[in-house]
Amino acid sequence: MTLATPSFVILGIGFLAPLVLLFLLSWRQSVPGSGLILDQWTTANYTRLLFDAYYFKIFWRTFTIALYATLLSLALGYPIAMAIARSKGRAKAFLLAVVLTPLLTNVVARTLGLMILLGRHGPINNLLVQLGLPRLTLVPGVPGIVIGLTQVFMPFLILSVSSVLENIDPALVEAARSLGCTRFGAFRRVVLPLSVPGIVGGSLFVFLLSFSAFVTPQLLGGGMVVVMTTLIRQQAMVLLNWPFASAVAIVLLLVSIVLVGTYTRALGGAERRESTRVAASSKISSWGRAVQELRRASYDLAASLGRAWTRLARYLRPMRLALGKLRFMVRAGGWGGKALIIAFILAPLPIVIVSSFSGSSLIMFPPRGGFSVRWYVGLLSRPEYIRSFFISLQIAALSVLIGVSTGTLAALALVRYRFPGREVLRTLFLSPLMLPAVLVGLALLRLLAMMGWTATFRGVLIGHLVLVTAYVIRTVSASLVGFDRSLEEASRNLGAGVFRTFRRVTFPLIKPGLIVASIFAFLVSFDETTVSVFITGPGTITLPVRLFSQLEYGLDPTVTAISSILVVIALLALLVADRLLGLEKFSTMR
Amino acid sequence: MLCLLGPSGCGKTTLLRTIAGFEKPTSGQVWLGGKDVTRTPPEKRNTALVFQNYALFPHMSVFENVAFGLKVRRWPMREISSAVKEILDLVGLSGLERRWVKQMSGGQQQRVALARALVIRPSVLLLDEPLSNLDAKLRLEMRTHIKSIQRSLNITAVFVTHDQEEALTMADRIVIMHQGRVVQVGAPREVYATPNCTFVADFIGKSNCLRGIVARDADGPLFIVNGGPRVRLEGAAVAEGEAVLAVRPEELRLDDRGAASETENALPGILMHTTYLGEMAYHHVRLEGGSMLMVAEYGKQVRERAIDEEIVILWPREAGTMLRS
Amino acid sequence: MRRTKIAVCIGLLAAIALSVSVVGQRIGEGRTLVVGIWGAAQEELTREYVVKPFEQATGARVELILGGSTDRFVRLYAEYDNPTMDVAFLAYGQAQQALKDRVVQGPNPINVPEWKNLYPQAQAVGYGVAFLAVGLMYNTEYVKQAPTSWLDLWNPAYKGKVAPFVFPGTQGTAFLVMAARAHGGDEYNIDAGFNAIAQLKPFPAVLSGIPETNLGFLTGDIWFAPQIHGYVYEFKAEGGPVDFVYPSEGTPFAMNVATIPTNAKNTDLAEIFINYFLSPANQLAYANRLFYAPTNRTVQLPPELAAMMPYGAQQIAELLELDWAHITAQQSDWADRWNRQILEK
Repeated sequence: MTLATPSFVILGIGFLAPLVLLFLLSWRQSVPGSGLILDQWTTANYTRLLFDAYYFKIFWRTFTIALYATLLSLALGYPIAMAIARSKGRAKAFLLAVVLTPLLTNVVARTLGLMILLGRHGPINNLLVQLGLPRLTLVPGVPGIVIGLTQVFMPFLILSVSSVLENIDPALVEAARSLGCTRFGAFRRVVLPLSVPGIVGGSLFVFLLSFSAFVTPQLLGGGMVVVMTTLIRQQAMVLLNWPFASAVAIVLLLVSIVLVGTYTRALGGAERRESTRVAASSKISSWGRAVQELRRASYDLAASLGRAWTRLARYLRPMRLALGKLRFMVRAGGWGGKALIIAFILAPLPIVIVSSFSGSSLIMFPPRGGFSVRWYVGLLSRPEYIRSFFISLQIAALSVLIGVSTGTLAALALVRYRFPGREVLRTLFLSPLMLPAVLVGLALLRLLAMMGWTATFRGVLIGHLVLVTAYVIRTVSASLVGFDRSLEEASRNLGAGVFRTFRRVTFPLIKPGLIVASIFAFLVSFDETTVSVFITGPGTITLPVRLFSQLEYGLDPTVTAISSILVVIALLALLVADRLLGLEKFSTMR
Repeated sequence: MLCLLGPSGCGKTTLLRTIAGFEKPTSGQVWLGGKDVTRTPPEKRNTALVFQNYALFPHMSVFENVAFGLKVRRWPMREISSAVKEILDLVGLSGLERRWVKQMSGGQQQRVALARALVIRPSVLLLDEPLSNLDAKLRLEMRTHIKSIQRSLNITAVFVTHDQEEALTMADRIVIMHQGRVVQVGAPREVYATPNCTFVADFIGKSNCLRGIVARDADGPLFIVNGGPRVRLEGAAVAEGEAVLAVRPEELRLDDRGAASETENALPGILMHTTYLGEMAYHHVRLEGGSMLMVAEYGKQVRERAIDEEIVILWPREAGTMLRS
Repeated sequence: MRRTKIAVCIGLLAAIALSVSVVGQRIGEGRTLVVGIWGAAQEELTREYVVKPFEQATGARVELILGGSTDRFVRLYAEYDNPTMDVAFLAYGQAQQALKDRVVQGPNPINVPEWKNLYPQAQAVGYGVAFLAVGLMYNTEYVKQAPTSWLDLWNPAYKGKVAPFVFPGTQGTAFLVMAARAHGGDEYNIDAGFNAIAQLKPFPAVLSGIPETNLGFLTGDIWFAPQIHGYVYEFKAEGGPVDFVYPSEGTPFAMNVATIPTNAKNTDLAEIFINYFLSPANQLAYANRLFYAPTNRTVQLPPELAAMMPYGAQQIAELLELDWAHITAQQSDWADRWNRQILEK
C-alpha cells in the first residue's frame, strides 16, 4: 500500500483535487464578459445545458462524429487487422510498423498532414478535379473531422481486433471448411462471430477517444464545427465563462465514465472469465456471468444476422453467380484495398515532410516555389522553438524517470497485495488515460491557478506525470500479472533477501515491460498536446503546444518543418524499439 | 479403419491434411471414392476431420456445433435436429444439446467433435490424434467407443496416431511412416510379426536388434552377433553378409535349469538390471561382446534375480526376423 | 553487460533532465522579460527593431510568446496575482476591458517618454501601438468592380464567396457590427447583423488566420472577407490578387495595444520595452512592412505609403469608433448566438 503512495500523491494533485475543484466550480455563476466568478451557488449552468436544445445538438453532433469515426475505423481497420493476424515474419513486422507509426507520431503533426491532404486544394480534391468531379469541402468540416479521427484512432481498433483474431485457432476455420464451408462462409460463420469481443472492445475505445478528442476537431473543424470539447475550450479560454465550461466538462466526464465502464467491464470480464474457467463454475461472479450472457447474446445476434443473410441469399440465388464473380473481384482487389488503407494511415507523414521543403510561404500540395530548406533555416532564428524543444525533452525525461519509478512501485502494490479499495485505486490510477484530456487540462489549470503554479515547470510536469504514471502502471502491471511468483519464492528459498530477489530475479524478468513503459512514457510526454495546451505558459510552452497554437492561428510553413522533425524522431524511436525488443511487444499496448 | 502410425514429425498429419485438402501435394494425386480430388477445395471433398484439439466453435452450443455442417449444406431445420439428436445419442451425449462447449470435459468435447464430423456422413472420416488430449483411462474407453461407432456407421476412417498400442487395437490396416515415407503397410498382426525393417521392428512393440553377420557352417545358417555370440537360425534363408537380427523380448526365456533343448540357442550373459512392471518384468542382459538383450517374463514366471550374475538366455531357433541392415 | 546498458540509459535520461536544467538556468541568468505578441511578420519586426536595441541597452533577455490576443487576454485574468507575462499585446476592445477591470496598468508617461507623442486615441487605452482599419478585402481577379459598401457583399452574384472571420476577434466582431449597421441595426441592436450574415451562407470558410485567408483568395475560393488593412496591403505587395476598400458605411477603427499586467514582475523593463516599441524607428518599420498606421505623431511617412493606411489625425478620426465596452459585455451571449445561427447549418 505504501508502495503506491508516491503515485497517489501525483494523482491527487494532478487529477483528483482538480476534478473536485471543477465539480464545485460548475455550480458557480460567472460575470458575463469578464473572468470573474461570483461567490454563490447556482444550478443555472446545468439547466442551461440540459434545457437548451442547442447544447443537445452539440452533444448529438459529437456523438455522431464519434460514431462515424468508429464505423469507418471498423470498416477500414478490420481488413488490416486480419492481414496482421494472418501474416508472419517480415510482413507482420511491416504491418505492425505501419499501424504503430501513427500512434507514435505527434497528433498535431499528423493532423497538419490531413489538413493539407484533405484541403480544398489538396491532393484528393485535385484528383477529383482531374477526374472531372466537383471539389469537396472536407476540411474544414465534419467529413474532415471524421476522416481525421479515423486516421488518428484506427490503429487502436486494428490492434484490438488483430490480437483477438490471432487467438482464434486456425483449426476452427479448417474445421468449418472440412464441414463444407467456403472460405467466405467460414469467415462469416466462425471468424467474424469470434472476433466480436475484439470489435466491441476496439470500437468502444475508438468511440471514447473520438468523443473526447480535442486537437483533431479543433484543427480540422477550422472553427466552424462546435463539438463538446471545443465548446469547453471556447467557454473557458475565449469567453472566460469557467463555471459553464466546468459544467460541460462534468457532463462530458459522466458520458466518458459510462463508456469507460462498459469498455473495461467488457474487456476485464473477458479476462476474468478466462482465469476463472479453471476454477469451479460456481465461483464465476455474477458480473462475469452477465458478461458471459452479453457475449452469448452478441453471438446470437451474429448468428441471427447470419441466418438473415442466408435467407436473403436464397432469394437472390439468380444473383449468386454474379456475386461469385464479385467475390473474386473483391479478393483480387483486396490487396489493392489494403494498400490504399495503409496509404491512408501513412499519407499524412510524407505529405508533411514534402511540404516542409516548399519554397512558397503558402502551404500547398504539391508544394509551390520549388525545393527549399528555408523553413528549417528559419527555425534556427526562432529561439522559442528550440527552447520549446528542450523543454519538451526535459519534461519527457523527468516524466520517464519519476513516472517509471513511482509507477512501477504502484503497479507492484496493485498486483501483489490485496487491500481494501484496491480495485478502486487501480481504476483511479488508470482513469486519466480514459477520461477526456480536455477535462484533465481544464481542471488542472484551475488548481494550478489557485496555487499560483500556472505555467510553471512543476505544474506542467505534474500534468505529464499523471498521464505517464497511468501508462506505466498499466504496462508494468501487465508484465507483473504474467509473472510466475514461484520464481521469487525459489530465490528466497535459496537464501536471497527481499532486495536481492527484486534485483536479481524480479527486475530482470519485468525489464522488457519497464523498457516498453519507458519508451511509451517518453513519447506520451513528448507528444502530449491537449492537457499541455491548458497548463503551459510563457517559459514552459512545449513543442507540440507551440505547434498547435501556430496551426490554430494559421498555416505557417514553419510548422511543417517542426512537424517533420517530430515525425522523424518518432520513426527513430520506432526503429530503436524494434531493434531492442521487436514490435510485437508494443502491439499489446493501448 | 486405416491407421497412419509414426513418430512425431514423420508426416502423418500432413498426409491426413492432404487428404482433407488443407495441404496441396507438390506431386501425386489424391483420389477419393474413385474421383481425383487433388484440385478440389476442402469444403467440396466431403471429408470430415476430427482435430487433435477438437476445434469446437467456442461461440456455439453443442447443438450448433454438431448442426454446423448440415446448416452449411442447407438442410431443413427439422431434419437437422433429428440428425443431430440421432448422432448425439450414438456418441452418448443426448440431453446436452444446449451446453456451451467450454463447459464440457475433455472426453465430452471429444465426443462432440466426433459427432460433428460424423453427422455429415463423410465419405471418409479423418481423425488427427483424437485421443492424445485425454487421460489414460478415458483413452482406453474411447478407443473401443470410436471403433464401435465406426463399425456401426460403416464409415471409412483414417486415423493418425503416434501410439502403437492405439494403432494395434483400433486399426484394420496400419500404415507406418518414417521421415515422410511409408515404410510398411499391413494388418496389425502382420506388421508386428514380420516387420520389414529395423525401424518398424523397433517402433511397434519392443525389439532387440542385434547387429552381426550371417554365415553358414555345416549345420546350416548361423548369425554371428558382433562381439562373438552365435545364434543358430531356422526358417527363411537369408543371404550371407552383414545383417540385423530382430527378436521380441517375449520370444526369449531365461534359463533356470541350465538346460537348453535341441531347438534352442543358449547364450550366456550377465544380468545388468531388471525393470519390474507388476504383471511382467524386463531383464536387461549383457552378452559376451557387449550387445544388450532384453528378455520378458510374465506372471508367475517373474522372479527376483541377482544383479551382476551370470545367466543363460534361451533363444528358440525359429524366433527372430532377419532384416537388411 | 545488459545492466551496464540500462545504467547508461538511465544515466542518459538523467543527464538530459539535468543538462537542460543547466541550459534553462543560463537563459534565466540576469533578468528575462516575457512578452506576449502576435507571430509571423510582427515577430520578425519586433525582434529586429525592439528586442535587439532593448537587449543591448538593458542586458536583459526577451522571451517572446507568440499567439493570438485572446489567449493573452484570458491569461491576464487567470494569472492576475502572478502573471507570467511582463508585456501583453491586446486587441482594442480587450485592452479597454482589461484597463477597466484593473487587470493591466494605466500609462506611465514618466517611464515611457514616447507616450507624450502618441495620438490621443492611442493614449486613451494606455499604449496604443498601431492603428488599424477593418475594411473589405476583395479578390481583384474575380471581382472586376471594386466594392464600395458593406452591402455589396449581399449581392446574389457573390453568394458562397464571402468568408466571415471567427467571432470573437477583431475582424469577426467588426464585421458583425458593420453587418448590423448596414442592415439598419447597430451594436445595441445586433439581430440585423446576425440575420444578415446568416444570409451569406454557405461560407467558403470561417477564417481565423492570415495565411489561410490569403490562400483562399489565391485559389479563388474566397472573393470577399472583412480584413485589417495592413494584412491586405502586405499580401498585395507580395503579388496577391487582392485590394482593400474603406466601405461607405464606415470602417471600424481598431488598435493594437501594449499592456503591462497589474502585478507584473518586471514593470520597469516592460516600460523600457514599450518605449522602444513606440519609437519612430519601430513604428516606421511597421508601416513599411505591415502597413500598420503609426500611433506616434512624430513619425513621417512618404505620401505613397501614407495612402495605404489611416495616417494622420484627420484620417484616424474618420474611422468608425465602435462601442467596445458594450460589445465586450455582450460577447458571451453573441458567441453563443454565433455558434447557433452562423456556424449551424
